[in-house]
Amino acid sequence: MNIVTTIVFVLLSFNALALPAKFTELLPFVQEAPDQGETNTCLYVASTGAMELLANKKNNARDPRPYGKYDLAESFLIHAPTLNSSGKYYWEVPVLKFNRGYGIHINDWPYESWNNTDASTSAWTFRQWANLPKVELPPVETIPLFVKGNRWSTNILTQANVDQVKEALVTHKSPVMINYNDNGFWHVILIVGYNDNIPGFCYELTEKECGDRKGAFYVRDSFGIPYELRDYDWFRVKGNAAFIVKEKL
Amino acid sequence: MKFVFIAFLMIGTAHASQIVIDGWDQIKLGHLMAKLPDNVVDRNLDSLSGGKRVTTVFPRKSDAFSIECVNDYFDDSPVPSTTVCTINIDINHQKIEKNYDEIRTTTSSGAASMFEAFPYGNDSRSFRSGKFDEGIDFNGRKTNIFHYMITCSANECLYRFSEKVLK
Repeated sequence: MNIVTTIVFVLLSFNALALPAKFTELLPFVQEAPDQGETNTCLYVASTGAMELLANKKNNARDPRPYGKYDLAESFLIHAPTLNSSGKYYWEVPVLKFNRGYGIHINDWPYESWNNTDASTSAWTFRQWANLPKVELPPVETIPLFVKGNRWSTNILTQANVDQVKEALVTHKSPVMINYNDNGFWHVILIVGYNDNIPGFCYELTEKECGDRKGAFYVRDSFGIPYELRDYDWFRVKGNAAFIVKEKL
Repeated sequence: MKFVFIAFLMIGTAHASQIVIDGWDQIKLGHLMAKLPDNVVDRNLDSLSGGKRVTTVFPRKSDAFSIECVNDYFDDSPVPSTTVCTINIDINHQKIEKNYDEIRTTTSSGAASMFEAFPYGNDSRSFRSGKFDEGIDFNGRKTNIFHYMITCSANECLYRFSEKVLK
């Protein structure tokens, strides 16, 4: 190991050590996601969730209730035309549609994923959204942290990538949108916090893959619960891309 | 005396059915149980090293079914690290209806709280397992069958369960 490598290693190690053992300050601003069911809308649900969180945080709207002030319509991002997406990854494009300065409230464009026992496709049905009432929103930007392999890649991340996500949360105090392999499907959700000292759900990992069960991310998925804990190893094994979504100052 | 006890146990077992639910669907149920207020559940707290164990049973009064979830919380986390849930059904209970792949029962017990715990929907709201598969419903129609599916209005809930092995 030469001197430069040693210095870089020491600096990186110091940086990792400098992170707090937990980061939970975004949790009070997480807007619960609808259950996406079979709609294949994860990217839009996650992007909407990032904007909702940022708007709730900016306006100090704690413990937001469903249908609250910044509970936004996921379908808006499905149907609104793309704004400037030059040089952006696929995952970054939907949330930047909010840079029109507004979204649509969920009351005015409800999201249905089930019709009794049948999967509903109504989220994909176009509406004349231009005529719907608008919810004023702050401008946002996205910052790629890493993109590795393809959307289905597994076992491609390292502990350094886990630390990158933790550091991004602490530095930007904003959600991190991630892509991972969920049972063979690519899936997009938000990471909204972490705790180094508690276990999380191993989620599709074997006991061996899940390691020593210490340290977990708070994730906001779209399967019918507000947010939950998933083991760091879940992300290391199943994840492949991450982006910060933050207010543009 | 021992024989009588064993016979009693066997009779009890013969009447009970347990819905097998995978880990993720147990977590979904665990979060739901955590949302329900104390007045509609039996809730017990035990201390764990570095945390607490919360056992929640719904409904409070004996009914045709019971949902029990054990949530373990550590540090000051608002959500559990681990969850184990079981759904038990008294298959011979007068309120149980069973046909094809579905077991059904309706109750008003805790319905308003259950309705409030489901975040989205209007006069009728529902909550279901992530695992489902094509099957035959109570009325003999081919449709999606869920391990659990709860549909509530503000004063009554329909509980639908399935013992079918699902994808």
